[in-house]
Amino acid sequence: MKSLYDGRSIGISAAVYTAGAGFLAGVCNGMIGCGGGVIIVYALSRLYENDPERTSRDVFASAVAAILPMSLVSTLLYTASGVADSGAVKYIVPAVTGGIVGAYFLDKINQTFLRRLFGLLVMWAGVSLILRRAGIM
Amino acid sequence: MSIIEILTAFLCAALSGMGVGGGGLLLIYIAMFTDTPQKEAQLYNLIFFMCASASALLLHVKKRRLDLRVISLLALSGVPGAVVGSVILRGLGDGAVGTILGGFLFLSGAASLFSREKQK
Repeated sequence: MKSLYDGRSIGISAAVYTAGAGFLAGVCNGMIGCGGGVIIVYALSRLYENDPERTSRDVFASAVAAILPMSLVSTLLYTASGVADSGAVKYIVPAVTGGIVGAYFLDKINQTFLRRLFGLLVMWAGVSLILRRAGIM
Repeated sequence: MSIIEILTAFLCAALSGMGVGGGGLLLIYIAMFTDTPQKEAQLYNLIFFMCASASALLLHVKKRRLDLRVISLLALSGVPGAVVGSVILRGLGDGAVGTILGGFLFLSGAASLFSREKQK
């Protein structure tokens, strides 16, 4: 793909590409409560392909920041439609501490290895979930 | 809350902070290993992700990793997307959502496994 973005000014094609990825990530975030990050990381990796200033760490950090407002809106809409949120309280402390630790170690861990491991785990989980819903597992 | 659950949530948050997709992992854990209904599990995951990412962002901001122009575009287009996704969800049963989630996880896992990344 031809470079859409040089890190300084965003042209029309880059803006449309980025907005399209954002919208798709938002739909996933609202519909299945996760997944937007994978779409944004993929899109930004392509967007920054020829920008020497941007690293994969910037891609991951920007993905985290972009998903936050989408998650907030999805949370408000879920709650408004009557989905109970009382059980989420117990995850808050591990979430806050784990988030800081993860951001700290972003510079120190081999991202490629981590993403491959994550990919395998998530593929396994996806198949297991489908088989469970089909009553096979 | 068991030690296993605390450790799982902590590790998923650490992965979320790195942008590796740990938010999805917590949803998998809740959906597969607890009796939480699907939509409720998704809401827990969203709240969990917000807490993990907000704390991670403190460090990301400090290290100047954020491209605010691109983030604004993503957020401005993503918020209406989230509204659309949430509206679609209202019309779906837990079983259908679980199957869609399973399919999505499989594809995103494959994408993580086989995609190229910036090497820098």
